[in-house]
Amino acid sequence: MWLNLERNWLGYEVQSVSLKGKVVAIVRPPDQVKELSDVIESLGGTPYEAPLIEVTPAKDQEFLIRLIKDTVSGRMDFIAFMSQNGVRQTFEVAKSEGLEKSFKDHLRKINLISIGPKTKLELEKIGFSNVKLPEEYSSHGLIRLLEKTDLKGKRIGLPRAKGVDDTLRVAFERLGAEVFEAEAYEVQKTSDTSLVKKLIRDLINRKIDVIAFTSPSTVRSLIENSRKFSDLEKVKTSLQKIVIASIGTTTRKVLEELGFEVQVTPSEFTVEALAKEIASYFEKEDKIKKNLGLDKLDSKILEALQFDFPLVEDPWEHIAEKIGVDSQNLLSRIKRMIELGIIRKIGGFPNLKKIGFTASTLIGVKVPQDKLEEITNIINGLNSVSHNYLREHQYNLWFTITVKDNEEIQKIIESVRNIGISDEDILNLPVVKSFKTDVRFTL
Amino acid sequence: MKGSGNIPDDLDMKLMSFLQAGIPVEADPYREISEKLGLNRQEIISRLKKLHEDGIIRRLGASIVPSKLGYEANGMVVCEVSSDKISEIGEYLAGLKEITHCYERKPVPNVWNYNLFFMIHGLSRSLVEEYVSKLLKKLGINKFEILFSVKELKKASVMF
Repeated sequence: MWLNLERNWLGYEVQSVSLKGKVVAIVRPPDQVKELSDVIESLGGTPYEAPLIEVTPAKDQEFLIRLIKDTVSGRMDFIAFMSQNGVRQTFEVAKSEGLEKSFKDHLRKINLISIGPKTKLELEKIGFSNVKLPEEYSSHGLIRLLEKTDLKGKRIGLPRAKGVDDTLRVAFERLGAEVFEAEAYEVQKTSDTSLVKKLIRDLINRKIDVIAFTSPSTVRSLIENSRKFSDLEKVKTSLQKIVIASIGTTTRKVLEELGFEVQVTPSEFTVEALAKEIASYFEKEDKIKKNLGLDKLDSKILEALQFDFPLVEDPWEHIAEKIGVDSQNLLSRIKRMIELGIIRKIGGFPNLKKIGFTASTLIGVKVPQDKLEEITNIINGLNSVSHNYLREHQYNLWFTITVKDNEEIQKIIESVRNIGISDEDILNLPVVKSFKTDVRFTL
Repeated sequence: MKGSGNIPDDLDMKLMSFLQAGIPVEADPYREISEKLGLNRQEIISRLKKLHEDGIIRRLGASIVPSKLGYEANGMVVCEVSSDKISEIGEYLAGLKEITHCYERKPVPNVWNYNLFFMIHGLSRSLVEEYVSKLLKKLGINKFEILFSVKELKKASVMF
């Protein structure tokens, strides 16, 4: 997908957004699927629920119990909750220890922090109004929030998932705090694999337009499950053809390290922002097509014409059948795109080397303004010159020459010299090795 | 067998010229060339297939004008890469779909030390700049320039 270089590729704002006609795979744990599904539905999209991970209470609750007891005995100054799950599991354990009421009472008196608005909401639901939020909803945001406070000798409790990195602990300790990390829950690959297998099949069969990763563990689960139930390379190739969305930069980094290109990352790390960002991504893509008056069928035609053009007596019939259109319509659409200047031609591109054109070079020239027209006329008149560009650089004219022997190149250089350009203003940069010469574009 | 026995003959070359000019967008695209060369359509197709298999036809299909699809920023990126790494980096860049051409070229010592060249098309200059700087940073290349095109003066096929 050509448009996917960067999420803000087009650089203009979109007014209203919609996910109409788009299938968005949601891979969060079952109890968190719904909130994202709802947002996607409200934007007109079709949520596709396939949890890749599940959340279970931590097996070893010793530290969590100790954290609760320390809070109750007044020995905790801050508690930072990192997720809704963290809140739920912590209170679950407080309850089973018979400490729920006194735990709540003490939490009202200390500094209660939540990593993001959803976690804050979870705390508000059970009666807390003293919850602080960082400006950015991430570990980094939490560090920034607490940097402003004097943490010397303060105790910070962090009920969180098992196996997370120690960025926060290290940062808070550096600020002088004493940190109590406690495993509240575990995130694992989902044990019910039926939906995962279906997800993998549907990714390969291109039934999904977007996959929204909401944590590094969702990414890892997809990779492991693909390896187990399918062909990882196949899944990777399929993912390249759809839109990959990531809720935040940590998840994005994990995806990029695995070689995936992430098209959508919202600037605010919430499910609402994620869904909106996905929608604006499609809106931008559509806008280009609309500006050109091209529709989905046109882009299908463009794709079919560029890849695997059939070598048969009736190529149009073949292509028409392949994309499901009648050949009259196909021909008139192709003609229109040629008239619009989108298609230059439909033809064959020779490997010039194989028919004796073995000398190939790029020439860069410093051309003064007043000589530009003259040199362009000479260069453009040569059959051996295929590309000639004016570029923004002190070497401003760049053209390629492909000929049968180097002597011809020297002759062309000579003719450039003859119009009064000195030797040191001409760069001759012959090809040593060609890595790629294939140009294809898709919408 | 591919190899030295596959030298294209006159008719092949005429077919290549036909392809270079572009396959007519008509219901029966090979009618005119068939009459002109006195070859029936079947013969034309089997010759074209052979040329394609032998790699003499490198690619077959439509050539698109990127600026018409909104890719208005066309940048030639030139970078300086040490000779022991250039093949690996060249292959890597060639694998990226954003990059359309990639060549190692012989530099001009002390005048033009850039030896790896690639082309990239994007919707805007700033986005091309952002993409290229991130990409090259990742590859550990710090000597590079992006030469944006101001005007396309000629874009054609080499005629033979």
